[in-house]
Amino acid sequence: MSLVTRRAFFAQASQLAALPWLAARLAARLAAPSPVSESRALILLWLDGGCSHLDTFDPKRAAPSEVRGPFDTIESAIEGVDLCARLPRLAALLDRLVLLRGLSSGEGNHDRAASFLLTGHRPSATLTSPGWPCWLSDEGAFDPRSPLPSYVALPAAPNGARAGFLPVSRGPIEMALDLAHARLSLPNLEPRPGTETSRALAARLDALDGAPRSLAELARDRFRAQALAISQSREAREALDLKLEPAELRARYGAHLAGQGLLAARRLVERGTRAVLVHWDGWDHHREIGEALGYGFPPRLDALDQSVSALHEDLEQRGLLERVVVAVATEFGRTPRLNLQGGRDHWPRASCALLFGAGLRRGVVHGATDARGEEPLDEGLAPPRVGATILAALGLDPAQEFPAPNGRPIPLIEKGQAPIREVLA
Amino acid sequence: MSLRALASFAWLLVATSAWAQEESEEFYYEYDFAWDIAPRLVQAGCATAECHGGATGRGGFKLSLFGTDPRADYDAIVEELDGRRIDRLDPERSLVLRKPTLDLEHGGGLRWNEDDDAVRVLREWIAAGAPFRADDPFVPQRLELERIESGLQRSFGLRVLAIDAQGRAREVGDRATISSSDPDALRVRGGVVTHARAPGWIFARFQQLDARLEVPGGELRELDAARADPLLLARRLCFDLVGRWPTPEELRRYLAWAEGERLGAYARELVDGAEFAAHFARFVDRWLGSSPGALTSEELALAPLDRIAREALRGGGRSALLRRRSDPRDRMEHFAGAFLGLRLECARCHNHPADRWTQRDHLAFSAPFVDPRPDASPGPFFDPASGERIEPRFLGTSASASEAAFAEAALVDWLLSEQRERFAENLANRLAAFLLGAGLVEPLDDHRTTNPPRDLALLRELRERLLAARFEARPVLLWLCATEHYQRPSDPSPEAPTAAEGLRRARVLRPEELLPAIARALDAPPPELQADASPLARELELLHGEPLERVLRAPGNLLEVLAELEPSAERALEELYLALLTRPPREAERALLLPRFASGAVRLEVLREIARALILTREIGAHR
Repeated sequence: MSLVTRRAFFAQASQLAALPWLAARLAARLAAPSPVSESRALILLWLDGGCSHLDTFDPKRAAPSEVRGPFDTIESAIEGVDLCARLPRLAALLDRLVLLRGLSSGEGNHDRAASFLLTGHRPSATLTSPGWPCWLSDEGAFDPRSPLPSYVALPAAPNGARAGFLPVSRGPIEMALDLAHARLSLPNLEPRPGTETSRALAARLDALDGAPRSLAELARDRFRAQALAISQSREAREALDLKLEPAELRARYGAHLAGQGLLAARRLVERGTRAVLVHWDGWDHHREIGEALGYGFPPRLDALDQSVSALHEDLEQRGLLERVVVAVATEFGRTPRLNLQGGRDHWPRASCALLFGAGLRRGVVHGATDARGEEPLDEGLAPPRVGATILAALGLDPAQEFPAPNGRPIPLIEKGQAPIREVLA
Repeated sequence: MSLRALASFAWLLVATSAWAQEESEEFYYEYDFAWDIAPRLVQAGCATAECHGGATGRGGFKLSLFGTDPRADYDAIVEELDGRRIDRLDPERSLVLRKPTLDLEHGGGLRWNEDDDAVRVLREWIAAGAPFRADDPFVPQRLELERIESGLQRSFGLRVLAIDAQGRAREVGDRATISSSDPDALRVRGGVVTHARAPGWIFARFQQLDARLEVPGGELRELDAARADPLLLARRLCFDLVGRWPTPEELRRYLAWAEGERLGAYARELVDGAEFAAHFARFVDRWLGSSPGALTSEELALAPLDRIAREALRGGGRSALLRRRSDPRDRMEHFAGAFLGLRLECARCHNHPADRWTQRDHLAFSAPFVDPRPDASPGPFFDPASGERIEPRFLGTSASASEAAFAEAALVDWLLSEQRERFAENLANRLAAFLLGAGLVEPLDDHRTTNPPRDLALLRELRERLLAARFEARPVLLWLCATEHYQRPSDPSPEAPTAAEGLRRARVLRPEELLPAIARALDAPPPELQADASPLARELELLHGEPLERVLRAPGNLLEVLAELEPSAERALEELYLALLTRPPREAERALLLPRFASGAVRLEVLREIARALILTREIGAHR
């Protein structure tokens, strides 16, 4: 590169730009990840339905009881910062985490609010933006040496975290979490006995077939190759098997979707997966929020506290906190006043998110809401800034542009939505 | 070709100096910003939405989108930043020249070389004091785009004329922005079409004006009579019309018909069957976004498309189709997309400089879809700029339509009488997409002057035929099947720009299309599939899943019948190939597969093994 002058480089680049396809390839090449971003990975715990900020990470000790809600508060490891009393482990860990309060938007519809946060773009009728975890997925040919998918959703991805206008190959591969057998299940992974001959014959017939391949066919070939490789790879199968973890560690994460999902996520990112989304649904508590969060098998708040703190401890012990960014996020907060059914309704003007790991500072609470948790104290944080901050922590530039299908370059995260510098290391 | 034409072609090639020549009698040429400078910035791509034409500009420098506001652009260049963008004393040092020539760092890269004519013009304009307007009474009213024949195959020159109210013309080829509908099909360089490989359109844009020129397909030789292989055509036709592959028996009959007639005869046979009705119901589903409840699939296949529209719009604005959306703007956009082939979503928020429909049009056409019941839906609408209430009216008309769309008759009558042609053209395009895999206008709901059809003549023909057939789909589909447009080979190589060569776009069958077709080919009941699985999960399902296994082991399927009744391994193999791949096995394939039948006996296990292998080949999933 040093022998090529900047000018000559741009001159060549502008000639290439005459061909839109090449221009797109060139843009992709220029957008090639830096060494930092190449090694870093993301684990996202998505609390689907709109987790109440007042009953988790932004409780109001001094507010009237219909705002305070059914739970007590406790002091956290950061002086003057309270969390819900049912999150004792996270409260004790808070001086190692980043807590964002006062996330605020006007989007009170589940799907739109989730897309706004997960894509970093205001939902639009004409362009479906990709979720930011997709920016970590492979775009090129599939590499048979590491057959694990680069982006996995457990057990499914919300719409906003899908590939949008990107090729479907950059979207998540969904795997079910089979708690009974302690494994991630990708149906039909095992080759059917007695079918090897047919597969070998098909490969030989394909070799005889001299017909050229269209782009669509090549895209399909990629998944076929990946399906064959993953079903034949012992390493891939081991990655999905949670029984290979010590029983004691599995118990520490907790015997529920969040716990085992986060444990599985750790196993996957350890083995080369770049992004794992754990989709925990059922946080839409319009009635009896105290029961919904505080009871059950296990109670939601206990499971949240247990699984996220266990993940932190586990990543730290393995030295993975230097490489993995962890985020706990939801589409919006819930109404500060309990409604007549003892529940809380949608409240997009105040919400929160929890982050930790690579590229992030420790023990920072950024943003705040007023005494009743209704509004952010200052102008608030727009949801796309969560994605911008996470991408920045992963070593990617959220202002980096990528060509949309019509050739128009659009930034990874909407213009003007900068990473939150105060929480980046 | 005349000498004069040749001369003017050569003249155009040196069009960079055309203006100077024309004006050479005058001693001194006075530059005019809107005439000489702004168009050159547009030409270099500076004023596009992704660069300085974007809503907030780029790097602190904003131009109007496509140079539509020369006064603002002039101020941005000459007045802003205390005039730092130009240097009247030393024009060479002007930022507006140093950046696009990459003398200084420029995010937009190299736009001009130092010896480009545009650079000379800008330099002279700055040296002359960077005036906004010379005293020039010539105000262009329209633009004309003409061909100048070169005498060479598939290349020609272009003349762009700006014409004023008095009919006076000026050549503006050196400053107009010239582009083509598909750079792979029609390559334009320096105002000359250097390679015309497929039909398409050339566009010229100058100031607020634009013009276009069609390059019809007829004159391009590649398209002559290139037809796909007859067996492949039968496979294509059968799948397109009924969603399965031809049976060996159908194939034998097809090949027995006379060569010129067999495709048409086969197509007629297919569209008359019940399978077509079931398959065509999916077309209606995609067209309307749902199925109009009152008609059965058989009725759908037989009903004229205007009747289906009438049925879908039963109840007008309160029809089930539109009522699903609560916002009248969503209802209107869905209506416009499905029935008029117009994409009005963009105009909801802003006027698009290259489109005819404005934000006011959008609101005025949304207003009839407002549910008149109190508080039933948002509306009435007000002009965002003036705050003035917007009166409801149908798109493109001035007559008020006060909540008329809620009366079914008004909406349907307007669509089927006043908008009859547009409705027919939209459906003609959708029918073309049903058979060709892609519409002549793509996206299907994006008919507009700046997005002309790939083949205008074909679209017109289809529209006229649809009108003549009183909106019956089948005669139009049958006609299209019999044309060369449908019978073109598909070239799936990624290097070849398929659309550009006028070839058909090959595609990969989705699992929900592929597995039922396999089941049908093997005479097995249709399998149940996972819904909405990821591509990796679907490949795994095909490789190792239960559905395929059930098809291969279905009692009485083709494999069992062959094992029972066919003594010759060679014939059994051919039958399997015909059923699954619509062709006999090639020599090399025979050599590979026949030895699997030990001692020549046709055993069920071996047939199953071979069928499974054929199903796992790449060939079976490619729709070519």
